[in-house]
Amino acid sequence: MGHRRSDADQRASFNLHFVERKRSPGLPRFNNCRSEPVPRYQARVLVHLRPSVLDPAGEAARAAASRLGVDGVEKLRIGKAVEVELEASDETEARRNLELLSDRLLANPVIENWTLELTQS
Amino acid sequence: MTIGVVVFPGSNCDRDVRWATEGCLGMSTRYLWHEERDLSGLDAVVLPGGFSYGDYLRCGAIARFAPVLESLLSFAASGGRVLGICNGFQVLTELGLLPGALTRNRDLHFICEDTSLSVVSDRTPWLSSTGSGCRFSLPIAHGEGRYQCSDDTLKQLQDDDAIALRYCSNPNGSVSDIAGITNASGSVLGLMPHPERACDPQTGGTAGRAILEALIS
Repeated sequence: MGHRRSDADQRASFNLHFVERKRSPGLPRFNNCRSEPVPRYQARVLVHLRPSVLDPAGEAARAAASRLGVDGVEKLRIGKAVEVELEASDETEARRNLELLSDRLLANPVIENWTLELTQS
Repeated sequence: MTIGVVVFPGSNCDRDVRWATEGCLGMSTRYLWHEERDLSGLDAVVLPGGFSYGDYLRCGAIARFAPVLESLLSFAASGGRVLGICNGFQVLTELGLLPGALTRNRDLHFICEDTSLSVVSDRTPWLSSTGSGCRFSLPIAHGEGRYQCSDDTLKQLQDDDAIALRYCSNPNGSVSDIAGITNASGSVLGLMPHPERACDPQTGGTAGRAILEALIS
């Protein structure tokens, strides 16, 4: 997990970004071809249960693996992969927003860990 | 003295709670739609069972951002009583008003049965009328009721005397047999069993009455 800023910092940064965007002339996203396009990013957030948390669904799937005839599956734990596309002024901002999203919504840090893969599209 | 019952899209025990508080116990009750922010005039708030917002992502994960819960945070901070039942308990943990999390039952089954509970702490108003060590039976109905927390959190719960109820025979794999906990001050109670389904002798007994009466005692 990366370094996290406080919520207040992140909100302030978001609000500032929003105000700047509103002040810019024209409609930058649709019909003002002079303006710079906003960079788009693709991300995949992987959410998995912490190692100490029992994963009964994973255990059930592991039992099914041997019924399928696949032996030797020592460990099988089920998580989630969340695909996200977002606009951000730069990679730092994209990463900051995704970290907030992952830590506060997509995963519950009490029982889950998450990792983030980020690419510019 | 009025009780508010929060109604999320997907709540399905909101009417049961009102039937119990108003119909069985004669307490003035009104619904709080999830977009409402005005909690003035309320003495206690109940988060009922069900599947708030379809339980998408995790139980209670989306409900946590409901406008009514922003107001609930300040309501709870000023000492207002808050009761979370089943899905309501899950919402309270996601919201951070109670520690820990509720996870998939150990044996993966949705369990719907009466279960025997023992009172661990009677220091809060919720269970002061029953007395610690007392046993009674309440219905449970959940697929994700396995209480989970870190060792540190468990120790904190014990130090704060915040474990309210334990299962006599652990049905779901909860840490330390936990069925319900309070916050340190005791104003907020979350529990997986359904006291509102045990308020009439003809439908499940009356063991749940004491907990609901504590909303305004």
